[in-house]
Amino acid sequence: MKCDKCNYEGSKNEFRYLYNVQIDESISCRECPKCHSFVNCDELAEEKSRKGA
Amino acid sequence: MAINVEEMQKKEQWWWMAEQKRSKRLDYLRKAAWKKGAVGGAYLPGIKIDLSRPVLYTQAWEENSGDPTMLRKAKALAHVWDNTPIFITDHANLVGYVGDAPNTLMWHQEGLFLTNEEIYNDRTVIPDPEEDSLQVMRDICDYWSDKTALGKVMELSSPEDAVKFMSGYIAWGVPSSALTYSTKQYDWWMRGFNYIIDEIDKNIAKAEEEMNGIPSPEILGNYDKIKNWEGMKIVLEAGIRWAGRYARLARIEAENFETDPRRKEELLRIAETCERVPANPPRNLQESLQFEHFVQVMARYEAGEAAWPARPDYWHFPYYDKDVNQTKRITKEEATELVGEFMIRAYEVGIYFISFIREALQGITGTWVWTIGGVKPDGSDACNELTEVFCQAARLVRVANPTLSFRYHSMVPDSTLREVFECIRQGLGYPNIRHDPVLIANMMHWHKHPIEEARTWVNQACMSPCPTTKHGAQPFRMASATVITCKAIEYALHDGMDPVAQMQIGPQTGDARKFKTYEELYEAWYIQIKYLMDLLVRFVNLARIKDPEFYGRPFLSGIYERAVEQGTDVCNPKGERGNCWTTFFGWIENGDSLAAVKKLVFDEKKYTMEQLIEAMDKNWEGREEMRLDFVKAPKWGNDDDYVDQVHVRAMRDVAKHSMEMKDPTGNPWPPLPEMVSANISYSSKVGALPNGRRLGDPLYDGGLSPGTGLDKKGPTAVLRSASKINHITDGRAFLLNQRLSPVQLQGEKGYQLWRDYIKTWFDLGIDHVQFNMVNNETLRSAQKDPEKYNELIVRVAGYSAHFVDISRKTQDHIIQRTIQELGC
Ligand SMILES: [Zn+2]
Repeated sequence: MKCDKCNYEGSKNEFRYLYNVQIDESISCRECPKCHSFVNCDELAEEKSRKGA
Repeated sequence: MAINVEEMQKKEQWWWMAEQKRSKRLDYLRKAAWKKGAVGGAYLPGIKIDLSRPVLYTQAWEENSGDPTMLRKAKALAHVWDNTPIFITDHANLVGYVGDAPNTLMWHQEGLFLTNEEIYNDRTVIPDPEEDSLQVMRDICDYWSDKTALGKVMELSSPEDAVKFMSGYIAWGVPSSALTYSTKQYDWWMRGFNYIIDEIDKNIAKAEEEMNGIPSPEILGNYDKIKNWEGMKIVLEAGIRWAGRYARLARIEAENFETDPRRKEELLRIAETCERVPANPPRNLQESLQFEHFVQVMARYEAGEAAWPARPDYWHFPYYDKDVNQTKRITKEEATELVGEFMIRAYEVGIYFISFIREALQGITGTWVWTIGGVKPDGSDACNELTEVFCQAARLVRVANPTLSFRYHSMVPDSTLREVFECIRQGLGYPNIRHDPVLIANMMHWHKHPIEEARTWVNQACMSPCPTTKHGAQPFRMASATVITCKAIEYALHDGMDPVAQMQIGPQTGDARKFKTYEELYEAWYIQIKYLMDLLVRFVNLARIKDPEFYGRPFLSGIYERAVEQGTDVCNPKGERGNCWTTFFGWIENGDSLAAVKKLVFDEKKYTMEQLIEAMDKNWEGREEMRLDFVKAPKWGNDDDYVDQVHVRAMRDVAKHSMEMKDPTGNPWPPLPEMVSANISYSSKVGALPNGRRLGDPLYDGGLSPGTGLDKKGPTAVLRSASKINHITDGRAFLLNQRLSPVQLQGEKGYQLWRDYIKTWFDLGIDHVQFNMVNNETLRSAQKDPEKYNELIVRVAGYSAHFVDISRKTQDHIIQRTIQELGC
C-alpha cells in the first residue's frame, strides 16, 4: 500500500494498524511508517487479490 | 453590528446565542474560568498544581506525629485552611476555590504514591519558578514515599491480587479516598457547622461522664471516639474560619479598594454571606448556594473527590422560593445568574489525576453529575421552578461539567420537560434521563433502602443512585471496583492468559480449542468474569475498611450524622446500609462475542474454535472476510432474540454472583455497565474479540448501548433490546447512548416526537438514556476547524465534554454512532 501524503510505498504490515473506520466495514486506519500520517486501507483488498490469483 | 438571536437559533449557533443572551457578569465569569480537564491526556498550558496544600499539610502532619489519623489529618487540614492563599474572582458573588490560584489543580500527596511519582515528571504543571518548585516537590515526595494510603493498602493485600490489579489490564481507578465519590447528607450539614459542633460537644461530655463512672467494656471504645470527635470539631471550626477569611478579604476590598458603589455592595454581601455560612443555616439563595459550594470545596481539600453527588433544585428551592416569590428580595433573572455562577464555580474545580484516570475522563475534571427533578419522600412530584432555572442557566453558561441528570416520572410537568429537552436540543448532551420509579425500586431491591429514603436519591458518580439519608448515604465508593469485563472473553479463549499483557491473570479454564459445545465456552467465561469481579471487590473492601487508618476523613465525618452520632470515621461501615456497585467497562462486547461464536462455530459450524483462536492471535490480520462474518452475526440492539437472550443470560448470571459478593456493611455489589471515555483508553489493552473487534479499535461506548453503528433496526428496536434486561434486579444501572437528528427534532413537532420517544422508553422500564443531538457535518467541520468550534459540547458517555478536547479517535467514534430517526 501507499501513503497519499508522502508517497511511501510498502507492504500492509509495515503500516501499523490503528483502528477501524466503522466496525462493519473493511476500511481501516493505518499509520504511515515514514511520515506517521493516517492512511486508509481496505483490509479486504489483499484477500480478494489473493483469491483471484 | 446587529445580532439576530433568532437567526443564530435557526443556524444552531448555540454558543454564540448564549453569549448574547447571558448577563455581562456571567459572560465575564464564564470566559475567565480556566479549563482544567486534560486534553489528549495532558493539561492545558497555564494549568499548574497548587503547592500550598501539600506543603502546609505535610508541615502539620509531621508536627503531630503522635496523633491518631483522624485527629492528625484534622490538624493538617486546619493548618491548610488557616494559611493557604485565598482570592476572589472579579465580578463573582460566590467564593471558595480548590487551590491557591484560579489556574491550579489540587494534589493529594498523601493518597497515591503513583501520582507522586508521575506529577514530579509532568513538567507542564509545575509552578514557576520551576527549580524552587521541584525542590519543594522532591521533599514532599520523599517524605510521603512510604506513607501513602495506596502504598499501605498494597502492602496488606495479597501480592498476587496486587500485581494483577496494578497491571492496568483488568481494573480502572485506585482503592483509596484519594480517588473517591461521597454522597452527602444535606439535611444534616445544612443545619450549620455550629449546630454540629454543639452535638459533638454533647457527645464528648456524655462519653467523658461514662468514662469517669463504673468500669465496663462498653466504655472502652469512648477513648477512640473522643479523639475522632475532637478531629471532626477541629476541622469544622477550621472550615468556619476559612470562610471567615473570605469574609474578611471581601470586606477589606470593599472598604479600601473598591470604587464602584455597586461592586462595593456586592463585596459586602459576600462578606455577610461567608460570616453566616457554613457556621449557621442559610437564610437566602446566595447563602444556600455558597454553603453547598463551601462543603464541596472543603471535601476536595480533604480527599480526591472525583464526583459531585448533589440535588441542587431540591436542596436550594426553599431559599429560591423565599427570595424570588415571597420576599421578592431578588428577581428570577438575578437568581438565574447566581445559579449560572454556581455552575461555573464547580466547573473551575480541578484535581490532579494520574494519567490513566484522566485518559478515561477526557476533557473533564471529574464526573460532576447533578441530579434534578424526581419525587419528594412522600412520592409527590419534586419538580419546581428551580429545576427549570437550572436548565436555563445551563444553556447560558454551557459548561461541560457539571452536567445535569433528570429524574423522570409520569407526573413531570410539561413546562419542566420542555426545559430539559431544550438543553438537549441545544447540543449540551445533558440532562440525561433517568427512570425514577425503576431506580427507586432498584435501591430497595439491592440495598433494602426504605422507600422514603430511596426517593431522595442522587447520582453518586455518573450513574449509580444513592439516598442522601443518615443510614443510606454512602461516604465512600472507589472507582477501582471498575472491571474491564470483556477481558473475560479473552481469558475464556486463552485459558486465563491475557494475550495483550502476556500474563496469566484469569484462572485456567481449559484449552478453548477443545471446547465441543457453546455451554463449555459459556461456563469458562462465567468463571473468568466472576474471578475478575471477586478480585476487585476484595481489594476495595480491604481499602475501605482500612481507610480510617490509612487516609482519614474528619471533615466528611463531621458532615455525616451517622459518624457524629457514633464517634467513628465516616468510612467505618457501622450503621450504613451500603450502596456499592461494580462498574462494568466493555460489557456488551461479552454478549456480542459469545453470540457470534455460538452462531458461527457451534450452530452453523462455519468456523472451528481453532480457526477462531488463531484469528484472535493474529488480530484478524489477513482474515478480513472471516472478521466481517463475525461482525455480521446477530448483534445487541436490533431486537433479535438470538443474541439478546445471550446477553440477558450473562447479565442475570452476573447479577446472581453480585448478590453473593458482600461489601464491609454486608451488602451486595450490583453491576453497572457504563464506559466514560474508557472505550478509547482501553482500546490498546483489550485484544481482538469475536464480535469482530481488533486490538486498537474503540470499545463500544455505553453500558447497554449497541455496538457503534451496529444498531440497524431503528430506535425502537434499540429500546426493545434494552428492555429485555430487568433494570431493577439485573444490575444497578445501565448506560444507553443515543444520537438523534437535530433537523428532525426542530420546533414543536420535534419536541412532540421526543416526548413520545421518552414515553415509550419509560413504559419499557429502562433506567437511563442520553442523547447527542449534533449532526455529522458540524462534527466534521469541528475536526477540520477546531478553533471555530471551541465551545461545541458532546455527550461522551457518563459525562459531556467539549468536542475539541477529546482525542481524534474518540471524536471519530462519536461520529460513527448511528443517528436515529424517531417515529420510524
Ligand atoms: Zn507517509
